[in-house]
Amino acid sequence: MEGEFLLEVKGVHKHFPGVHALNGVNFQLRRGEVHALVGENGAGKSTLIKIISGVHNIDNGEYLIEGKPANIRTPHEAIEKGISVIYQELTLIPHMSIAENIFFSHLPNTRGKVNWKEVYEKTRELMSYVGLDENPRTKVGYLPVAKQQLVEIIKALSANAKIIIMDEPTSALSNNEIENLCRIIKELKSKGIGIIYISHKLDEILELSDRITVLRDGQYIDTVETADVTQDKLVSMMVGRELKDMYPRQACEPGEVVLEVKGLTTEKVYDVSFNVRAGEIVGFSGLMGAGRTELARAIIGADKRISGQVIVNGKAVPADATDKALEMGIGYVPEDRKNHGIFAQCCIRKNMTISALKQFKNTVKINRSNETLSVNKMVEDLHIKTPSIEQLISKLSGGNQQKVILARFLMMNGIKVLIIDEPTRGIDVGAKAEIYNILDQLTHQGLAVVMISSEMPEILSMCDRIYVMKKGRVTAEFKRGEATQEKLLSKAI
Amino acid sequence: MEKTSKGHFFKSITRFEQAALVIALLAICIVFSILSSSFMTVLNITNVLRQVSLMVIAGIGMVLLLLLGEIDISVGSLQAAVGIASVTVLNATGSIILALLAALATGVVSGLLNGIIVTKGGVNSFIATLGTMAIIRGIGMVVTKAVSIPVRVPEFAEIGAGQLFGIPVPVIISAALVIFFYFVLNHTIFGRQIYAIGGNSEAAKLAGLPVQKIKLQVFVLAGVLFALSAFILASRLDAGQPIAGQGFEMQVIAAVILGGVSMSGGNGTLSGALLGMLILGVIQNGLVLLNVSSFYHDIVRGAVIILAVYLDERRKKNAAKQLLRSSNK
Amino acid sequence: MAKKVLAILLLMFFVLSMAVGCAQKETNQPANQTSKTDETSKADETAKTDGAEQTSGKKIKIGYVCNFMNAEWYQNVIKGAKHKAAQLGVDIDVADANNDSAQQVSFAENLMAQGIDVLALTPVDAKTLKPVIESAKAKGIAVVTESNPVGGEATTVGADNKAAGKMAGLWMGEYAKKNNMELKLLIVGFPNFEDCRLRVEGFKEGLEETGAKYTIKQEVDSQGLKEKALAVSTDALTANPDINAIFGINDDSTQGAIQAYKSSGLDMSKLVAVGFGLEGSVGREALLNNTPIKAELAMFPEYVGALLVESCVKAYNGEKLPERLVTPTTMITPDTYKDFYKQEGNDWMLDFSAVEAIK
Repeated sequence: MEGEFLLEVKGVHKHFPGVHALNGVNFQLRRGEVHALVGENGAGKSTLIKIISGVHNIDNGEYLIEGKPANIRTPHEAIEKGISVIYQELTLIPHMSIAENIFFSHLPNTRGKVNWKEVYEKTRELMSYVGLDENPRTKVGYLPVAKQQLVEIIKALSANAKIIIMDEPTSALSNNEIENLCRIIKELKSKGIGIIYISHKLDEILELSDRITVLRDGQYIDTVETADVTQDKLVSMMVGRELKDMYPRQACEPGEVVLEVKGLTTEKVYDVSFNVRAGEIVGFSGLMGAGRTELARAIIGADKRISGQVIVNGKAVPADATDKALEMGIGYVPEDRKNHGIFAQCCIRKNMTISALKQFKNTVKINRSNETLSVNKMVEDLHIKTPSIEQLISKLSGGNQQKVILARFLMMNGIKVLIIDEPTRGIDVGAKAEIYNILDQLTHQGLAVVMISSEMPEILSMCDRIYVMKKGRVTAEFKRGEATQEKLLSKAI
Repeated sequence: MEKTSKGHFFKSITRFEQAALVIALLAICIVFSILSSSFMTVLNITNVLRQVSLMVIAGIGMVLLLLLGEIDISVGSLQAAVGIASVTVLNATGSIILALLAALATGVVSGLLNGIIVTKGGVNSFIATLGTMAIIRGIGMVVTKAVSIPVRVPEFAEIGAGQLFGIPVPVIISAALVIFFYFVLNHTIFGRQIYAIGGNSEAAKLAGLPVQKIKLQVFVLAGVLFALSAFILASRLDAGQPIAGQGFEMQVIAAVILGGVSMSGGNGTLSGALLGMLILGVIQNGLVLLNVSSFYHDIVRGAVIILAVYLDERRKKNAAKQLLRSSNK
Repeated sequence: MAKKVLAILLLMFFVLSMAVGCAQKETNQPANQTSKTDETSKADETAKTDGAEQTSGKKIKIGYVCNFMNAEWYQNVIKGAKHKAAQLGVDIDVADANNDSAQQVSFAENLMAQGIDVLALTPVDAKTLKPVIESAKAKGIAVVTESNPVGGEATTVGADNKAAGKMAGLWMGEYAKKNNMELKLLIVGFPNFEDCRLRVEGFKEGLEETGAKYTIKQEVDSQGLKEKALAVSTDALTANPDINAIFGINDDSTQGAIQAYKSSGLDMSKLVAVGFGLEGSVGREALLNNTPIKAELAMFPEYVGALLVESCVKAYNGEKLPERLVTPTTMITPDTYKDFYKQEGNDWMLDFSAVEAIK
């Protein structure tokens, strides 16, 4: 049955001006198979997906669907051939209802009159299939991201998709929601639907997929049976070298208490108290919406506090001024890098120095040469990959953007506490290890780090102490070595 | 090798951004000087600059606000209020300095009012200043009973009409301000912070920038600049007029946007805005020189704005496409 | 919580801005009310001295919807109207349409609903007021218009703009001949408005009639605003620096053009300007303070207001009125100004008998 692939691309090449984006890539998808596509950022995954879904056309090579030439030139033709893509950034229309979103391209009608009863019935049927319990008339904008994603899946099913492509489907989901998604994927498999699965989370891929194709720098590396590989093997295929010690944490002797939070209460956080010593990494684990980001925002004064105190080196941090918090040495690397972290229209240099500009002040003027010098040093120290510090930050990969934002605080003379929210979200494996390395080194220089993370392995391996939060409260504290995935989870749910 | 070519590419884009406007300005000037012999004369150039200079002074304030992602449409009403305040003080005291202080104080008060409503009240600045626009205009009407106040100090006219080394005083003032604010925007912390807040105010807040404080400061600063242009306008009109500055806000905003300053904040340059204001000023001047019926003026001006913005959008799209290609490996 | 505060603030803000919006259209109301009280007290005096002008119990109530009260001209029309109303012992309510014809219609309707006896209108756009006049007729309310006729009203009070323009043209022509001057003219107009177009038309006719030597160098559009007049005249003077005569369709237009002449560094002693309107203090200052304005066509806004009220009362009493009641206009020079206006403290009062004498 080798010829019976649902989809096959052979020796595909794609050029963009100055870039050989795909260099002889092969990929096959069987019926009822979950086929994962992995590679670092820029490896060519998105280009391949765009070719499959009709956004780009191939320069060279073959693209077959069920053994016949695909002849897909536009995204619309791809949908007609049964290919649906669920993008990382959802493409639903927020002010339309669930049912309208699902059916708006193919509303059932009799002579132009929409049969709404049928629409809602069909929607309900499909919703129960994926376990979505909502009113079909609810506007999509009111749904949490996880549920919106289910709506996207329903949309694909209603369009009779034979191939569903999922691009980082779990990046915004909690563990529960991920489990539900896994269940749905298994069910789709049993119906003979082929799934192309893209994710940075290798543990997830190892659990879910049947086969894995690895790309690197636009080259096809290999396709392997999932059962035959380990995570380490996969990582070395992706980065092209052995990656030793993903988690480099070497605990150091903790110093004085630097950050102390006492009874902090906001609209989303209730009576949270904890402290962090110099040289410590303290983790906050919990489900999405447990109040961890809100806690961080309250600490730096971005959100209103109702009661409680935040003390840095014995001095109280004012409740309503992030600039004062920064002055006292607290930096915050936000979770939503794109919307809350970077200044997309600015270059790397301006993004990096925005919080530390005072250090470059020369009577009234910013001293450009000092600034450039410091930025270049940071770029070198943190291995930020960029042709120039005048490059727009939005053109960097996620990992490099994250490093720039880290550098924003690291270049400050008086930095004492760094709160870093989901430090490696949307970042590829190589850069991940580098960021862990940076954090580890910083603590050895006496920085106190608060790490908020939903990724169990990183929190278990990197943190000296771990707090678990649930519904705005701290439910448990673990020391390094005491905590296990199960323990954290049981306290989080 | 790739490094240098990319760096070069970025520079050429930023240069091109201004180039489109410079070419447009030159083209318009060439057309007018062919059609009218009096266009390319020292006298006329001086006139155009003098007329544009008022808009430039107010325009700097508008650029600061737009870069911050805010707007102030009460600027037209303020032209009237400041004129009335300064001429009243001038007539009462005979002192131009005190009149200037009265003008600036009026600007500060209005800027504070707008700034507080926006930052503390959390009201969208368009709506807030739509309100203060009516309030300020109303106060001017109430105080004067809609009758303009004539200036009784003859020297006052020198501010608007006078010359230094053959250059009109308003032109010197506006040029000095342009240079000063160019420096502020490009070489000081304050300028950097304005761009950052306008680009992404949430990120700026989380990066430890005093967002509300800077917004308030810029509203006040803009108020002062608006007041300065109003002060010179009063001198030019030789009166404090309650109906002065009607529609001025739209002229300023249109010119600044024509110069490539984005209404959504964080994008734009003072030099671009200056070119935008010059283009509109030259068009206005040229059409009168050519004795074109005033009914066509608005049509031409509207067409130029749409064309310029269209070209700008196309340029941005092309630049984005090229960027995408060069970075999509 | 924050949302609630925001909502309350927004609400407060809107109420405030609406209040201000109203205040703006009533801008002059408080001022007028104070003047009303003074004038009613004066009226009481006149009533006492004059005896029984108005003996019947009910006072006549006039509702006047002005087109644009923010102009000094209408300030003085209203001043004259109120003065006359006080003399005759009638009530007058004034509303400002603020150049918005829709607003004018709704103000007129409101006034009628409040129970007025006569409706006076200065149309923003005559075409939009037909239905208002119809419904006034149906209610038995008499209508008088000022400046532009709508059709169906009892009468229209106002100057003959063309004839007045001609007077100005004749005056300037004669002046040129007397001073042996060849006129090179800048005309500062407002072509959107028919009244203003008629003024310019009449002016050119009058000028032609005198046989004076003249060329019209340029006509510009000031929209009746000083700022705009200054800007466009500056440009026109650059194109035609030999201009030596200015005619403006209102006081602000003339003065904006003179200001442009001055700031272009041209010789003020060579300039002759004739203004139109003499709307109030702005025109007076310019005429009396030795500026290039050699003469002004005076339209006597106070007189127009007084005649408007008088006609309203007549219309209410069912007297037959001519279709047009033309208000007198004349040329006034700095020397003749005091024949018409008398200084009283800081203010100048119109001598109504002098205006009557023009007729």
